[in-house]
Amino acid sequence: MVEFAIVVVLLIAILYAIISYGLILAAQSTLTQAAADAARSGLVASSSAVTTAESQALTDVSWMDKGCNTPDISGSATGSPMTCKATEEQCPSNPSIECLSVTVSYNYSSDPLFPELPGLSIITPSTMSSTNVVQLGSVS
Amino acid sequence: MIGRVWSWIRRHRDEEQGAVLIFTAIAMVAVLGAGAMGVDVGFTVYGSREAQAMADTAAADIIQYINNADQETSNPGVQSYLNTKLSGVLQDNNSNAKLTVTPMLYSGGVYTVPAGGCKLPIPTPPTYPACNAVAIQATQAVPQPFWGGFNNLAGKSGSGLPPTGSGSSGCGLTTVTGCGIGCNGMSTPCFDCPVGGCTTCPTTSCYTWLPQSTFSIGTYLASFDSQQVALLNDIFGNSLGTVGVTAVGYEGLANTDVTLNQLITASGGLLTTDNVLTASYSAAQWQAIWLAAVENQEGSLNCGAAPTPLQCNAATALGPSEMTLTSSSTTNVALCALVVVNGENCSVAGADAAANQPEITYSGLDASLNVLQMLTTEAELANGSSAVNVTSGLQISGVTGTLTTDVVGPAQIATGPVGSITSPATGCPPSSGTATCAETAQVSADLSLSILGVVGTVDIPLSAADGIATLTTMTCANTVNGAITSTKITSETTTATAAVTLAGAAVATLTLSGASASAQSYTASVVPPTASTASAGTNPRQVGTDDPTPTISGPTGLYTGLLSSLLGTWTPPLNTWTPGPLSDAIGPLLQAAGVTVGGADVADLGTDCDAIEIGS
Repeated sequence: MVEFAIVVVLLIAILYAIISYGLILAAQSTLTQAAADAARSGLVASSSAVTTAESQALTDVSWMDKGCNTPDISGSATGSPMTCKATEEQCPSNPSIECLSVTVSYNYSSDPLFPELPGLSIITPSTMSSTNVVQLGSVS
Repeated sequence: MIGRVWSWIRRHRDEEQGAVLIFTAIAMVAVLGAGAMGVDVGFTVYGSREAQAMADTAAADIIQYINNADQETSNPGVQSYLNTKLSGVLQDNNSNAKLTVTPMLYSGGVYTVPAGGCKLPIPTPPTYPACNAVAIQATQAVPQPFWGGFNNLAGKSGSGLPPTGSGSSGCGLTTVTGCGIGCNGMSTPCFDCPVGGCTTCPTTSCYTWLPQSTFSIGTYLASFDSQQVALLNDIFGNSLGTVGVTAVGYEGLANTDVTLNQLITASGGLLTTDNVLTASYSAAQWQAIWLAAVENQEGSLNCGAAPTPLQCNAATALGPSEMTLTSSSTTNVALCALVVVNGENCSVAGADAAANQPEITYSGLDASLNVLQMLTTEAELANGSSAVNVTSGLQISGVTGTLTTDVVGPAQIATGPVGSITSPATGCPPSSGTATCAETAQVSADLSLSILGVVGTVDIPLSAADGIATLTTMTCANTVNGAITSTKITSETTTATAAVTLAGAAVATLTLSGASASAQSYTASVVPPTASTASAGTNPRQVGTDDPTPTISGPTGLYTGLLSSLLGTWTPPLNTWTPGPLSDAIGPLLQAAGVTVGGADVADLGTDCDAIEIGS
């Protein structure tokens, strides 16, 4: 019984780590999805590309219930560990055309999806982010 | 041996010490194995998402170049061109994924990779480019920490014409399928469609082939007549600064087009896709933006070639050696006052009214604007009004006068596709439907004359005729470069009237009849306009008569007779560039201001048969 008590702590720690990492991977996958979705929605937006993209990213990450700072949407809430930021910038591959860059980042250590065990932060990422860049025009 | 083992088990079978160790050892293998598998599967899922995201991004980016790929003359050339663009996608996204692109053909609801390559056969009738869709496959390598090595995950995506035309439900975020749904049931890899075609290839972004034309109504300035250098310098030098553009520089400006996208990029953050039409800047600020855009463009030209491309002289003309504009001008100008892009101008209408500002759509970013035309209209607006003493120009004994033109709006340029309305009769913008149309400036000219022996000043506040031009037809040949076959622009002008007064009292009414709606055709050989096409009158084309005869009505007598005689001499130079008694003094300024009384110049400035619009 004593041995089991010792072992069960180890098992629970492992189970805890598996769940934690599973959620981290899910979050990272969501960030990737959100950035890609947002960039594309900005590309096809009939009005403001930046705000449309940030709004789309906010929608995509909503399942995590952490909100998302959207600096270009007036009145958006602040204080979220996540940031959904879209910018128009020169395309790295061709400075003569414009690109829409969307970065969705998550300061995971400040507000994790699953409470972290003491010491687990050593092996979990403190921040996660994903960036997607689409071209807003073509030059032959 | 076996007996000794059984004996040991019988002696210790009631002991529990160490039992947990055995169960733990067994369970730990399962737990750790499951955990390891979970991590590896997690990386796999993440990698798949990364691969799909890159495939989707590349599909949206590369489809923008599919029509440009027609400029290549061989299938390997097309593939190489698209591969180059794929490299750009990876660079933009700082990705190490591997991307491959397959140009495809969409026809009759079926996507195919033609046996002879995407450029062949050219469909008959040629209603779309030979190569009009792309399939993208992305491969993303992700680590497998416990399984060992790396796993290569594939994502597949595609872009093409929407299944049933623009706006179909097959496109858009809500129905993005990636490759998964469409191709799961296929035994062959995604998009590896048989020659006979498949109907299940998915599209993550759809586009519409939407040929566009850019045309103007008003005064055509961007010709190659170097004699107009003096005019340009006069316009800019009025109050905006010091301008001394040379003839070579003038030709450079006249031959250089810049897209809105390039302007945004060159603005250093001043312009964005949201405000490019509405951002209001001084002539000096616009000069800096245009200069940066032109310099960027020159970077892609071979300016060391002989003869030097004309566009290579544009930056010099915009530079400080030939043009120094002051930033003190209080009149700022926004692009929406100069050009109508896909129906958007400063007079907001339609769906954007809620936002109360004109907004550029994605396809509008590729709208090409002539540098000289835009600069001159900016300068005209910044100047606000121009006045010229016509005493010497009138060359009528005993008559002196002053002509003032007030520029309320400059000559207009429009760019966009053929809309549902193809007649200007319903106005611009039309009261219903869509149209790519432009309306001439609301320019007024006020001529004040002092006639010897007549007490008081004769004042003729002439409202110039409005003109509307509407893009009626665009016919593009489905050949290499997507060359235009012809464009038709329908235009008309309204009647211009003036209440002539003497010493403040009405004495007569002046009427210049307008031109009824008619369609002008511009073939490939005259687009864009050149000096020879301008000289031949094939582009720009004159709408209305060159020499309208003013109708004077009102009380008969000395004044009316005098006015008839006087105005008969006065009006022709306002309508033509041909030398006349007043052309040197008044004609250029009036033309610059967009005043073509009773008529208008309609110029087809350029066409883009390869233009596409990304669907949503």
